Amino acid sequence: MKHRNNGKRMIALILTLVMVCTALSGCGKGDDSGKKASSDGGYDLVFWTYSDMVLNDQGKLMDQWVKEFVEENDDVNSITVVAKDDADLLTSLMAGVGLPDMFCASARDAMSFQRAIDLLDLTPIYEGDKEWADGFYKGARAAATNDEGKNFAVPFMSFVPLIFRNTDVLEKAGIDWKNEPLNTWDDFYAQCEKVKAAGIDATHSWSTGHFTCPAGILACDAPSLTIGHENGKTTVKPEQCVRAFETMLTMEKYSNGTTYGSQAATEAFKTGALGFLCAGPWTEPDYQQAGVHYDIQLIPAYEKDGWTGGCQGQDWMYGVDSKDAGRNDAIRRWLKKMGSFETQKAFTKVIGRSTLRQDVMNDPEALTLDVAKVLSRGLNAGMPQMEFGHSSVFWVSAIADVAPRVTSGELTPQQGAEEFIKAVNALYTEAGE
Amino acid sequence: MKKKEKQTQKKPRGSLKKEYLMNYLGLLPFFSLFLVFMLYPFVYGIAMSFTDWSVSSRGKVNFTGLANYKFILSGEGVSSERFLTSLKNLLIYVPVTLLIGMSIALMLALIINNLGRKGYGFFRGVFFTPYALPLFIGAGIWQWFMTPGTGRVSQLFAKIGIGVGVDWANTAIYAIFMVVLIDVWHATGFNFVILNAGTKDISPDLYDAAELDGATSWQKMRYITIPLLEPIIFMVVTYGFISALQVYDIPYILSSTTDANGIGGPGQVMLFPVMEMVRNVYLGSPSGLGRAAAEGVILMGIILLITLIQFRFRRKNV
Repeated sequence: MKHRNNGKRMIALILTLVMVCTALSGCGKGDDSGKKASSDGGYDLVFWTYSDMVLNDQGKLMDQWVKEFVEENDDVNSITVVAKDDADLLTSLMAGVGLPDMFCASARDAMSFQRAIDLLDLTPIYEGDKEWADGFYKGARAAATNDEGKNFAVPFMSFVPLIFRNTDVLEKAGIDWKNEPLNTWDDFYAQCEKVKAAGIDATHSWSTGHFTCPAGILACDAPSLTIGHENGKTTVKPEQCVRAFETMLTMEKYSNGTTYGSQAATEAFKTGALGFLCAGPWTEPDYQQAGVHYDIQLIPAYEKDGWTGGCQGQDWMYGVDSKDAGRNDAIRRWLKKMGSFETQKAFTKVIGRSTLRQDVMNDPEALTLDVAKVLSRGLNAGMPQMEFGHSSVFWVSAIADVAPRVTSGELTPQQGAEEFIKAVNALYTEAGE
Repeated sequence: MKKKEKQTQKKPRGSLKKEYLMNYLGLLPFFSLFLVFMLYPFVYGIAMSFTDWSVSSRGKVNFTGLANYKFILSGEGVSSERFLTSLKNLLIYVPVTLLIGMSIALMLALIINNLGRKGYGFFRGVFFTPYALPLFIGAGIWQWFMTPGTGRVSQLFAKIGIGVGVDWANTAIYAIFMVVLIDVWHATGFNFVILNAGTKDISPDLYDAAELDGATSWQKMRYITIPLLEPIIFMVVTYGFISALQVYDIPYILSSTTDANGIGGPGQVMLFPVMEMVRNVYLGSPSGLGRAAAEGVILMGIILLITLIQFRFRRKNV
């Protein structure tokens, strides 16, 4: 008995020591730990990015870029690329502890990052190479510049939502899809009618579940929207949004009740039970792997050769100020490489995703994949999701609450537009902008 | 016994102290973790609820008194409206999920109790399986079941006239009932196992005696089973209340989106207080973290109040 008690005490003591050692190992100088150069003077950098950027062809590209950079820069030993999904990236960065050296994240959260983290001033790389700096879309570059004129991010990739058409379904419905693109909303309605007449569901709901579809429709009216905010209120007027709500109401006739982004809608599309699916370009590999026959269209305009829709999302690359001049310089060099014409051209050419360099998106050599060609056109229209880099208010998201009330008949399109503006104003008030 | 007492009395003080020291050392791991991961964050959170803590605070916060609480409960502003909506949703969700969940679990426990060992073992496994399944899988499966038009369960409901043509996940009231459905499916097995274990503790002699007195099955259940099961039922109900008031995972999975404003679904149809706290954290707005902490304190107050009322009520009736 005595031996057993002694044994238990010993186990308890060992456990205590393990706990204490574990707790102590987590202590230290926080962000500064491991931030200095290693004994041979080289830096081991950490780069956080989206999980799909380390998989498949994107992953191979990323490995190649890392290898090239390490070979070209003697003061960098390695770059560890850590994959994180959207929510994980935001949570980890906002926690402010154990930050990476650089990261790729949504431009939507740029204001939050500026407030929560010591972002590295990237102005030296912009001012040091005018040709490099002038290659970005003006709007993207301005967005990545703060009110003091300092550049805090490198615009990297962008997207607009796309309409994927299941061409097997279209053929069954008697649509000559090769010669009948979705140029206008009338074209879209007509094709939905034909698919429905063939006994197949046309599309999912364009008003419920997510902001992407209703906001994408609103973006078709971007040239007439007075986007901005003054004195805590949006400068967009309700009358500028009425047509969008009327379009959502019309589209609801063709809805099978599933929502944008839902597994049910995606599976229905993949199995030929749904004709048209609105989705992001990152979903394309899924359809390719499923063997779906499809083509890609933009959210159509109201008139032929008019302004196509879709809200543009942007992803930027940021650096974290390490307080070490040498390390900061290495970080800037990496970010410059990621923003370079060669890197972004390879990204567009191989993956088909659009980037935020205008010289790349206007280069026919870069636009080899169909999705890249479509995205290139889409980036010349639509509208940004929000005032990236200068506001934390994701104003278009307010449409997600109002759109279902219009399509359910609770509100008229005019009332919906007024409620939408009220909701947007409430968001600006909440943010104190 | 007397010899042992004599031996205990004879131990010198020093050796007793040494024995106590070893015991305390053995408790140290638990208390260290409790202090670091529970007590400290708890006290820190309450303290921060009285400040303008936000993502841009960088360690410098200002004491604002009850400003966060006044803001949240005022009904003005997006955050306040959303929090009050989440409380309204909770008012519907908690009693419904507890009533349905506990009733089903108790009914199952009483029925299965009468089965033989094999039958009992089989059904216990069947009912407990949803609880063992990771919640994100369960919620994903139910999203399929409740898909408008094609989901098996939504079709069944539509056949009896419930939710015809309704998108359950995006429609007010229906969304809450969808969360109730998933929660009951998930948690009933756990409650059933606890209640069933309680029924096993009731002596069969009592039932035999009642049988001799001519008691019916209903009378046996009413006068023997339920009263003797009362402490277990009370524990399960109390635990159920505390869990239900903190509901988060199921509605968050169902309404998951990359947009913080989308948490809880369109029109906040399935928004609950913990989700709103998470939104305030991610939004990065001024005093956002302070407000999230204040919402947490308010929720804690509600949970404490309900638990105290339950204990008070029980004490009066026992």
